[in-house]
Amino acid sequence: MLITTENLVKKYMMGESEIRALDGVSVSIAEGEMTAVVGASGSGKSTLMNMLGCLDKPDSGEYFLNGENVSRLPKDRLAGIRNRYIGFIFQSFNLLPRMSALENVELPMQYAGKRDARGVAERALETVGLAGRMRHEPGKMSGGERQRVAVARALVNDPALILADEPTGNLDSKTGDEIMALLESLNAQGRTIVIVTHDADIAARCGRSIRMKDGRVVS
Amino acid sequence: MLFLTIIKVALKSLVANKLRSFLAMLGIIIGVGSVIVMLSIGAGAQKDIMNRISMMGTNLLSIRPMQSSQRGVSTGSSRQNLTLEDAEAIVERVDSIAAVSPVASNNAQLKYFNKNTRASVIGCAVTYPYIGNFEVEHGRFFRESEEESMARVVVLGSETASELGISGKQLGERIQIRGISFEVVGIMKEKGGAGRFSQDDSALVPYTVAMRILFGMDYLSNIDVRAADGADLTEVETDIATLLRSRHKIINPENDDFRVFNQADIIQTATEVTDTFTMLLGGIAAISLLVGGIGIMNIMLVTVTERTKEIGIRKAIGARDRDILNQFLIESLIMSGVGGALGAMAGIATSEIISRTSTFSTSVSPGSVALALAFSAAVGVFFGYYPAARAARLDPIDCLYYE
Repeated sequence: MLITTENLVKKYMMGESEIRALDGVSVSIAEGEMTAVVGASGSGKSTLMNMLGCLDKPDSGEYFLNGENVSRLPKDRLAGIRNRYIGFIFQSFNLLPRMSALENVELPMQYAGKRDARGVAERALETVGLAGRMRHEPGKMSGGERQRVAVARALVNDPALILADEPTGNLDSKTGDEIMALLESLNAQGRTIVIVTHDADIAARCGRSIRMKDGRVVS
Repeated sequence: MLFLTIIKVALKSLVANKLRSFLAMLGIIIGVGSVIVMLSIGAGAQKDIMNRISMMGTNLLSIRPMQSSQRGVSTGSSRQNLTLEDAEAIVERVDSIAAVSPVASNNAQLKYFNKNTRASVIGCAVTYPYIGNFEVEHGRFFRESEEESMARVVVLGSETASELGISGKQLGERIQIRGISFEVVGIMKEKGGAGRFSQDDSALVPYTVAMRILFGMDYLSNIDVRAADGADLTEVETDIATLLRSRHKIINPENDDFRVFNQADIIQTATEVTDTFTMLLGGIAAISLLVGGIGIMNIMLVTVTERTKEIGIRKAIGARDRDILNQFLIESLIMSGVGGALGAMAGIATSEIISRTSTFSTSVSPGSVALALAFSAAVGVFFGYYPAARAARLDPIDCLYYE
């Protein structure tokens, strides 16, 4: 199993009352799977995604990524794990302005301290079909192009897991389709992908769905 | 992350906000510039004094009255204890002396027709120009006979003369000193040593006249002595001190009511004065550098808030806290560094302009430039640290969903 969680609990204080964003979540995801996490807003799917992405730590429970218990690691170790094992794709692209597509894609490798980032970044951009747009800044690109840059950025450190949070949410249906096709082709090459979405069509294209409600996995 | 990449990113974000970055730097530019200018004025003044002192020759000794004290308590009529007889005794009883001049000086108003000036009126002996290496440019110095007969004659310093509008052609004219009429017999050659440390703004009269007629003093301001060439200055100093002690009935040298200054003492005193002056000016300028640092901190705090999203993205893709810290720290360091460099250039240029257009002479030392640059870099790190640490501590999730 690439991902195993045992009884993950995350609590928030909302004024006086305690809210359990995650209330005992246990899931397993095997290598090579393409999984959708679905549920209404407030169901805890974003919190689960943050947890799986090592951006957040559980209040209790365990999270094993690639066999390593990462639920209690210090911040800097988690940053390293995000850098090496996880590629993020966000709804709002989250590219850095004032940097070219190429520089954005190089960034994860720079934090990994890798040499020859340029060549790898160029190849990743070619893979996502942006060979001719490398020097453009995100501000001068269409939404679909931006999301492709984000996919390239997610790929460059050859991560074990790609986490996509509503990757088509800001795109029209045609470009959304193209991005999904891109993710599917990555999955076909053996990449493990987790997509958080509330779109039933997207979920249907994934091999498996994890449905969440009130902080619990319901199916 | 590669150091070069961090610098590139920092430069980019500074250039993206040109006006804001420049305004933040302006504080540092002004701070560094004024530190350099102030230190250069101080160093220039010091150089002036040194020049002047060395122009007087190295054999000069000056005896000045001091507050006499016994067990730390000052006693008696201080500063009025050097007399004409002391000066005469030095001539008669101390060996290896080339010349002695009693000096009785005070400030006074000089008047020539409708022109007025305030000058230091120095009552001295005919030996005075010889002792201090002064030369007469026009006319002559007063004579021994004039000294004895208490003739009302005056030799003007070059600056005093020009203030009164007197040139070589007006010799023999009469001017008023404290309402008493004096005949101008000569004008001294300009001695240089610019500004307030010059003696060109003086007027020389016979000491007899200064003491009895102008100022009514029965004591001396100081006694200037020129030792013979090749004399052992320390020995001459000791002889003079011993003589004066016996004349003033002082047993314990700690109770001396006078002090013999030699060239080294004078240089040291002058250095101490200008050092204090320089430190004071430099200190005031350093405060403006500090204020500049606060400006940088302010801008960095704004930058961190504006770039919260960027911080979140960077953290999500693997930036550690210290990567974020370094990035912002280097940004503020570049700001203060570039500001420091621009300030140094501005400071050097301003010193040059000051020395060309005013009576202050300035001297920019490499040390003062290095000091100001180092200080500005330190200011950048010190004031950049808090905003950078704040950025580094931010939670990645909060940042990612920050709008």
